[in-house]
Amino acid sequence: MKSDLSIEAMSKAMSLRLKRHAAIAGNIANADTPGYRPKQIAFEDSLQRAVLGRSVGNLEKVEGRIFTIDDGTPRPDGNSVNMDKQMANMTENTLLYSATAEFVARKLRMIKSVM
Amino acid sequence: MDFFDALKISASGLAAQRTRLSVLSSNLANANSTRSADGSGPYKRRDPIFQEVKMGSFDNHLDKASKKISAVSVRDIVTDNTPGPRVYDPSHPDADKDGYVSMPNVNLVTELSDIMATSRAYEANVTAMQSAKQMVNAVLQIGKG
Amino acid sequence: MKIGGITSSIGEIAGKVKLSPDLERALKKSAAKESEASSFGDMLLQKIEKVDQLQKTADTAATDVATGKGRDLHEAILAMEMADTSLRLMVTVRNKALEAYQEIMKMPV
Repeated sequence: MKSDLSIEAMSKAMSLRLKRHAAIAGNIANADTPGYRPKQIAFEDSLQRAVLGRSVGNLEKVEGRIFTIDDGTPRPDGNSVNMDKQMANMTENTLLYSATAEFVARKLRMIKSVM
Repeated sequence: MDFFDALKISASGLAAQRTRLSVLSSNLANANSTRSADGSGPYKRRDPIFQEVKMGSFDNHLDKASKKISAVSVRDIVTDNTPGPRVYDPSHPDADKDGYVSMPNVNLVTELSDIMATSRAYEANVTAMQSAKQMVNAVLQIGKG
Repeated sequence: MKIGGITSSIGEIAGKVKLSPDLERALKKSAAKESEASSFGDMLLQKIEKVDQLQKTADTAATDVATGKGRDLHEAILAMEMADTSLRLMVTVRNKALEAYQEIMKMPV
């Protein structure tokens, strides 16, 4: 079934976004920790490449890459978390996660409707 | 990394901010305590020290990237030893031989603004938890209808 | 309403909404093929192909949003709805055709 690829891709995207949520939650939890620098998960590029490759095997291999990125100049205690930026990131991530879940739901509903 | 791990991270943030609130409230309540609990002089303000706790240290089923994501915990509550202001008041029971009273090193304005910041940080962690719940709800809609 | 009429109405509605160039191209491609039906069988095949095309378009749009390639949520939802509608239409047509066939078969000769 060709449609397996898109559902697989969307499911994988959701897993990766969940990881991203955890990283952002960690940044928010550590917004006052001295010396803490925010972490982020990157996955869009490798995921898009795997989708173009059209194989489910490639999709499964995609893992998010964690990296550190300052939100701005570090404060005197070494912490560089900007709460507003993190909240914005979290909102975007949650929105895209929910949208993807909705797409999967609609697709399955459509398939079920013709059975 | 699943939802429960993400919730644990936000929960650790809530706990840390709550501890910070307790410490700051205690500072505020003792802003005028010229005698500390052990009698060794005026009250000295205390500060919570936060530290990063990598998820890898309490969960071995995570993948490499997820292990580097951090929760938070309060490592220690340290006493601030900077001396407080000395006020001239010879009639005070705790006045020294020169008539000066050593007041606690608590600055009301600083403590209050820290308390407000703590409150906002607490709310942010609550929002993170609510986002996680939103995502779970979205997933539960799959297959319905 | 004829089969061709309904599917071209879908095309009309799609035409009134502003869509991305990719989506428009995909729809135009499937619409262009419509004019060459020579038999009922051919027309059916064309319609089925169009439904399949809409499915593929919807898949691509949804996957693009999910992987962060495009951010047009409205486009993905629209594409999915069009795919869904055309699929349900095809199923309904099939059911009606089957019903008609069975009616005819029941007739005493």
